[in-house]
Parts: sequence; structure tokens; C-alpha cells
Amino acid sequence: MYGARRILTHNGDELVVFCWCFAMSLRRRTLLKVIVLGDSGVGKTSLMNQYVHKKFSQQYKATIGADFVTKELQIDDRLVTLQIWDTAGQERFQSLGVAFYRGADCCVLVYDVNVMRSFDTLDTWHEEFLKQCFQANPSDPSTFPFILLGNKIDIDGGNSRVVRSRYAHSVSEKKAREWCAAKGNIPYFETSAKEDHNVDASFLSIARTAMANEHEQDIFLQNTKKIQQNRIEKRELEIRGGKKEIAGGTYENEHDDIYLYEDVLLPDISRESLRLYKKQSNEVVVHVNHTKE
Amino acid sequence: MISDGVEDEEKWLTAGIAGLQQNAFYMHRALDSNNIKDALKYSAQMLSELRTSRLSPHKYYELYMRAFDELRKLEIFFKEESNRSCSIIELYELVQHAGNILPRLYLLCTVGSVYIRSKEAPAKDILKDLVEMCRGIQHPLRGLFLRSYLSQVSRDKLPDIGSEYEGDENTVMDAVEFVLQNFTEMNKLWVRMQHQGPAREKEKREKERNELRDLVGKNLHVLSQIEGIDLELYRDVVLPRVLEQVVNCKDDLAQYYLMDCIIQVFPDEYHLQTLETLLGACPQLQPSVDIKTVLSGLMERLSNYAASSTEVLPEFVQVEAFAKLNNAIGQVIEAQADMPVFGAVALYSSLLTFTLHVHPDRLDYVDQILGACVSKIAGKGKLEAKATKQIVALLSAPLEKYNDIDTALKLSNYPLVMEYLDDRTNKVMSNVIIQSIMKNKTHISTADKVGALFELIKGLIKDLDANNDDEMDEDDFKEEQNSVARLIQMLYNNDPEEMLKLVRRVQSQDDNVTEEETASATPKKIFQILNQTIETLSTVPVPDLALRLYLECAEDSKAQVTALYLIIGTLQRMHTFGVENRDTLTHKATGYSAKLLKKPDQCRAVYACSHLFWVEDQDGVKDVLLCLKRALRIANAAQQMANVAKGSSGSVMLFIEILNKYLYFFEKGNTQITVASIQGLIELVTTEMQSDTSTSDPAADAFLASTIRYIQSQKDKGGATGEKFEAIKV
Repeated sequence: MYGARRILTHNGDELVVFCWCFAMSLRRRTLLKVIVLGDSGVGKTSLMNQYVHKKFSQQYKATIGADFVTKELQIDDRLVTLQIWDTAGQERFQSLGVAFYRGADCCVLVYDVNVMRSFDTLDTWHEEFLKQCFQANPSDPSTFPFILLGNKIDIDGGNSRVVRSRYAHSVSEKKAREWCAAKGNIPYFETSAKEDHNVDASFLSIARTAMANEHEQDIFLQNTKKIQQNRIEKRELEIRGGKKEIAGGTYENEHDDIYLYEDVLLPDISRESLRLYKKQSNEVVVHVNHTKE
Repeated sequence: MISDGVEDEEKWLTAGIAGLQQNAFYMHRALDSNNIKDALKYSAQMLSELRTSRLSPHKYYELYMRAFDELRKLEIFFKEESNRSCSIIELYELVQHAGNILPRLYLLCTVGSVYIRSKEAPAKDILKDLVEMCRGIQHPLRGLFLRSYLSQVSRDKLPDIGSEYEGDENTVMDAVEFVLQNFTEMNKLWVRMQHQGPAREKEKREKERNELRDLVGKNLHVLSQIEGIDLELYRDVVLPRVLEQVVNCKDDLAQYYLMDCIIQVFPDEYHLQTLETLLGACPQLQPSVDIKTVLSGLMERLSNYAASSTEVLPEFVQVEAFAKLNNAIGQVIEAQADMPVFGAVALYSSLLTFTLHVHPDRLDYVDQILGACVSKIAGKGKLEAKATKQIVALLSAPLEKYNDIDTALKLSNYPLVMEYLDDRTNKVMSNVIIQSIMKNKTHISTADKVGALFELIKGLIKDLDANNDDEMDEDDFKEEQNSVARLIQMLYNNDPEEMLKLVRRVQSQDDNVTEEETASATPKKIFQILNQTIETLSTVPVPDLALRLYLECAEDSKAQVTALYLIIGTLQRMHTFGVENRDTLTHKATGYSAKLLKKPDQCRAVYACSHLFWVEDQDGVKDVLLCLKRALRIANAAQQMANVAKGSSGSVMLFIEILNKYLYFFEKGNTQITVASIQGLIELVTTEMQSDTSTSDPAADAFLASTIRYIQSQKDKGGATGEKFEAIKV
């Protein structure tokens, strides 16, 4: 697998592209960051504890701030480390803000199927996450992967949801699915942390969703000093798997274990014009349009 | 020099991130080439960015998070590396060569977590080493973040029960000790922060401290997640140690926040079993600490716990939760002399909610709380808005719980609390009460209850404050009155006797209903009551409605007669109307009288109406006569009908009655009533009585005789009256 890892812009008119296409060996891990959000008491911590530690406690204990647990799992042929961030549902225990959203690969929204309010606030959580996460990031928020979990379906002796949704306070599955459809077909699971119902399945789906999104966050732009070497005048730059001549140098990465990097200077590139497209699992394309601002 | 702090800070953050990323870039390169030395060098340089003192907690956190993410990659490398060329023990030594202490300690924590994971040394030793080493950073902000990092990376490696790191010499106590120590150190850093820097920046510092609070509180969350902390360990070690730190730090921000944390992160069962310890700390806190919010939070949690399952209720009884909370509240109020009234009421309000959940059967508790409240607000003068709002909440709670005003009416202190509400709030509360009754369709079934209820909602019934000139919105007023009116439907009892009492109570709550009056629920009494109702209604400027309403009620003619008499009587005594209104009413009444079913009834009602025209200072002199003549005509008609029908006549009685009316107005000085007309009437009666067709009627004889006697007696009086009557020949 190739990745264009580092692209640094300098002073707006010059850009240094550090590219090294490192071969991701099968042994190497993929770290996926997942943020779990939702109202206080919907069972975020319980879902995580059930998934990671296989334990459940009926006791309600508020979460303070944010921290994560990790879980390793094999997906297809890849070893994946899920970094699951549990968060405080109560605003007053989130005094430091949400800087930890940064670099998330997937956001898990949780609500309690028995509490209408926790469903109603999903919009807020959804919006707030996107707002915080993408304020400095130009990529399209609408494609960011979410997953919705309706938790505590065990309550009320496991009566069928159809029956329970007659009560105004509980949320029918239909309604939840409609919400998901409206938000761009968010996957939806109904879970019970208490009875370990659907927990593994939903987290597996979360991991897959996150993996599909495996972001290009490693590419960042920043201003540093000018580098006056390897200036190239090419209007377009493409890096593909296989051989490609760039800036008078060549690199090859036909072997899994080989990686190399090049310092490349490109003139007149604005931040926005630089895009990275990640295609298939073993091909990365850096596409640079030379449009002047 | 004017500098924009925010802008500068943004600049510093950007620069920090740039430096961090650049070094991270080289670190990655080094990692990719398995160059440990370079990897450590660049990671240390990267971490040096965290040495800044220029960032606010929020910005620093952003920087920290980036470093944190990079360190995860380093950690993965360490994990893999320690399996290969370099042992973890060597790595643990190696990272300590970093020149600066802050990067060194971050690296140490990172390797340390891998070290614990490798199990090449007991977890407890490494944890102890790390938590001790972190003492090296005494700058509050940096120290707090470093220790929070330590807490985070060690979290899944604590020797908790069931954890792979537990066993041998590693016990859950080590985990507890580690977290407690980290907590204590962090709290010290946090509290000390306020004393650093110039005094003029105190406010800013307090704001920043507040932002950092979760780093400290996080430790309590970690403790709460340690499974090995059972009730015993919590009660004997964890709680006392945490509380000791909280009380001794003598800092109000820390005390308030940490108390809140303790309450929120630990389970309800534990709180119940350690109530005394927890509550015992409250009076020891700084007087400026907002204990009421803390305690309210606790009671709210316990209330929810009680509501979650009835199975847990015996626990509450067993630990005497109510008594302990009540006692604690008393102590806190006493200890905090400056606590505003609303604070105290809020506390009692929370206790009440708690009681309603936990001891729904203990009305005495509820009353006790209300009583305590009364003694708290008594003598405080006019209450602030916040306090009245709390009182409304307090008073609403029992209504919501019991869905039954009856229960609230049993609370002797309930009306006493209401006394302290201002006029407006009293009305609001009264409306709440009425709405509760309507919603739950509670029948108010006895006079006593009605009395109690009306006492409660008197704000809507009487003008409580005569000096209140607040212009009241008319719609609001209507709404208020409507809600009171709707209430009438809820007053009901199947037993007419009780119903009568009840209605009488509604009529005037001030009158004590005497035994005599309530002897029997005769129709007369009920009509009297209705009369009064109409009287009240008539004061609303829709008299037609009043009459029609009543005539609709009175279905049979007998009842109509009685009703009309009452109406006439009422109208006669009322002086509130203007000429026009009065005319309308009088003519209506006369009109209705003349339409009664039976002639004698018509006649009597009409002559009764004559009184309505006789108003002092008004030009009704003529109308009185007209009215009486109309009555005479009806009497004549009645007489003729009687002749046709049976040949017998009771109509002479009507004439005598009309004669009496003549005499009455004559005596009052109505100039239209002449001696001649009286004379004529007497002759008419006499003729009538002596006629063949009429059967002798002893009552009529007696009535006439006494009427004559009356005329005679007036003559004998002499003077002006005597003179006047002298002209009448009998």
C-alpha cells in the first residue's frame, strides 16, 4: 500500500512535497480513531466496556473528559487497532473542549431507544462534531462516516420494539432509520450493552467504515522556510504505484518493504488546489492542479 | 504596546504545531528506518513544543492532542522494537537521556506503558516510578497535562481485578494508590495555579483553572472504573482519601467541582452506603462553595436511583437516607450563614423530590420539609425572584407526585409556604394547583376540602394586595377567572347534604356554615345559593345571561316563581347599576313575571316588581302605579278564570295583597297612590268577599281584617302619618 505522507507548503508560492510511498506490510498496524458521542446516560461507556472488556455494570457512572480504550482486531487481512474515544455526555464534564476529535476516522452516535430526548439531540451531536472537526479542514463533511447505535433495547423485558414505540418516550426503529437515511445513509444498529446484543457486530461495522475512510490526514500544509532545490516546472504531478519520474529523480516501490521519499518543489500552488485522491488499496494518486489564486 | 492576546496565541499555536509536525515528520522517517537514536531525538524535539507557557488550556490541549497522536505511533514502534533489537528495559533507560525534563517524562511514560505491558517488571513498580518521576514538573499547566497523559496511557494497565496485570505482588490496592497519588498531585498543581502570576490576572487564571478541571476530575472517573474497588474499599480507602484532599485543599473551585465529580462518577449504591461520610464533608467546605448545587445533584441522583426500581427502596430506609440528608441540609444552612433564601429553598426542594421518590408514603416527611422551609423564609421580608421560583417548584412537586390535591391539602405547612409568595406568584401557583386538579379530574368532595383549597388559591379569588396597581391584562384576568370557574365542576359529592355544604362553602368561605343552616338540603336553600350565584354573575355586565341562565336551570314553574322572587329580591337590594341597566333589568324581570304559567303567580311576581321601580331619588313614582295596576289586571283576569272554571275564587287574596302594596307605597309617600285608589280597592275586596259566588275564606278574612286594623293603627298614631291615613274610610 502506498501513501503520500507529507506535503508541506512554503510561503504560498512554493511547495515541498515529501512523498514516500511506504509499503505497508501486512504486519503493520492500522490505527483507526473512533469517537463515541451521545447524551448522558445512553450507555457509551457501557458499550465500550462490553466490547473491549466483555463486562457490564448496571451502575450509572458519569464519564469525565475524554479518553480511549483500544481494541485490536483482524479485518480481512489487516490487523487493525481501534482507538475508541469515550466522551462525557454531560457538558460540564467537557471543560477542555473537543480537540480530541481531530483525526477521527469515524464517529459513533449513541442514543437510548427508550428516551426520546436522547434521539432528538442526535442532530446537535452530529452537527457539532462536523463543525468542530472540519472547521479547519476543507474536505467535504458530508462524506465523513458516522454510525448510529440505538442502545438499551433490552429494557422492558425485551418487549418488541413495535409495542414499545407506541409510547411517546421511546423511539421506533423506523424513525431512527429515517433519520439515518436523511443523514446520508448512516449505518444503524440496535444494541444492548447489557446483554451484549449486536455490540461486536456494530463495532466491526464501525471499524470497516473507519477503514474505508482511512483518511489522508497525514497530509498537511504548512509554512516553513523556502527550499531552493529540485525546482520543477511541471504543471501536473502524479504519483502512482510503479515507476514515475519526478523532478529529475526517480523512485520505485515495487517491493513491499521499499519506501523512499522525494523532496519536490512546485511553484504556484495554492492550498486548495492540492488534492489527494486515494484510489484502491494499493494505489495513491497525488494530483496537483496548478491554478493561481 | 497593544497586542491582541487571542491573535498572538493563535500565532503561537500555529508555530507550535509547525514545529511539532516538522519534528514528527523526521521522527517518522527515523522510525521507518528503525533508527532509534534519531527517533528519540526528534520525538524529544517534537515534545519540546509542549514546554510553552504562552498558550491557554484550550490551545495547549490542541497542541497536546497532536503530540499525543504522534506518541501513539512511537508507542507502537516501541512495542515492536522491544521484541527485536532493543529490550524494553534498555529503552526505558534510553529515553531518559533526553535533555529536557518535559519531553523526557513524556517519553518515559510512553515507554513505561510498553514496559508494563511487557510484564518484565511488576506493574506497580513501574507505575510508582512514573508517578513519582512526574513530580519533576511543577508548572501547573504542563504538569497537569503530563499527569493526564500518564493517567491515559496507564489506564488499561492498572492491576485491577480481572486485569492481566493483577496478581503476585500487584493488587488492586496498587492501582488505587497510583491513581490516588496522581489525583492528589494534580489537585495540588491545580489549586496552586491560582497563586501564580500577577494579581490583576486573577480572573483570567480562574477561567483557565476552570477549563483544566476535567484533567483533575478524570482521575476520579478512572477510580470509578476500577472494578476492584468494591464498597468496602471505597468506603474505607477511596472516599476518605479523596475527601481528605478535597477538604484540605481549601479551594472553593476545587471543592465544588470535585464534590460534583464524586457524586457523578461513583455509583448510587456506594453513595447510599457512605452518605454519612460524604455529607460529613459538606459543612467542612469553604463557605463560598455552592453546596446547594452539590447536594441537589446528589439528591437528584439518589431520586433517580430510587425511581429506577422499587427493589432498591429498602436500602434507603435501611441507611436512613432521609434523616441524614435532612440533617446535612440543616447543618449546611447553618454553616453557610450567607446562603441566600433561594439556596435554602432549592435544597429543600431537592430533598422533597427525593422524599417523594423514596418515601411516597411519608406525608409527614413532606410536611416536615415544608415546615423547615417556612421557618427558613419567615421573617426574610420580600423574597427575591429566584426564591419564589424555587418555592413554586417546591409546591408543585407534591402535586405532580400524588396527582391528587387531596394529599396536598393534608399538608399543614403547604398553605403556610404559599403565604410567602407575592401576589403574582401566588396566582401562578394557584393556577398550577387548578391545572393539577383538572388534569387528574380530582373530585373535591367535602366542604372542608373546598375550604382548604380556596384558602390555597385565594390569590385568584380575592385581591390579595389592595395596593397592587399593576395593570392587569384583561385576557390574563379572564383566563384566571375561567380557570377558577372550571374548578367548580370538580366540586362534587353524591350526597346532597354534603354537596350543599360544599356549595355554601364555595359561596362564601368566610361564613361559618352553622348547623341550623345545614339541617336539610331543601330546594329553598339551594335556590338561595343559586340566587347568590346569580347575584355574583349580575355584577358582570351581562345581566341577561344571568337571568337566562337561571331560567334555564329552573325547569318547572314552581321553581321559576321562586327564582323570580329571588331575582327580584336581589335586584331590589342591588345599587350597583346605572339607570339604563337598572331599567333593562327591572323591565325584564317584570316581563318574565307576567309570563309565568299561573295567573296568581304572575300577579304576585308583578306586584313584587313594583318595588323595583320604587327607587329613592328616581323617577319611578308613576311606574310603581303602572306596575300595581298591571298586577290588578292580572288579578282580575285570574278572578274571571276562576269564575269560569269552578265558581270559586282564591283571587280575593291577590287583591288584598295588592291592597297592601298600595298601602305600603302610600305610606312611603308615592304621590300617585291616592286615597281614592286605596278606597276603591278596599271596596272591591269587600264586595268580592260578600258576593254569592265566593266561598268563605278564613285566611282572606283574617288578612283583610288585619289590613284594616293596620290602617286604623296608622290613623291612631296621629301626626303626619295619622293625618294621611285619616282620609281613608274603612
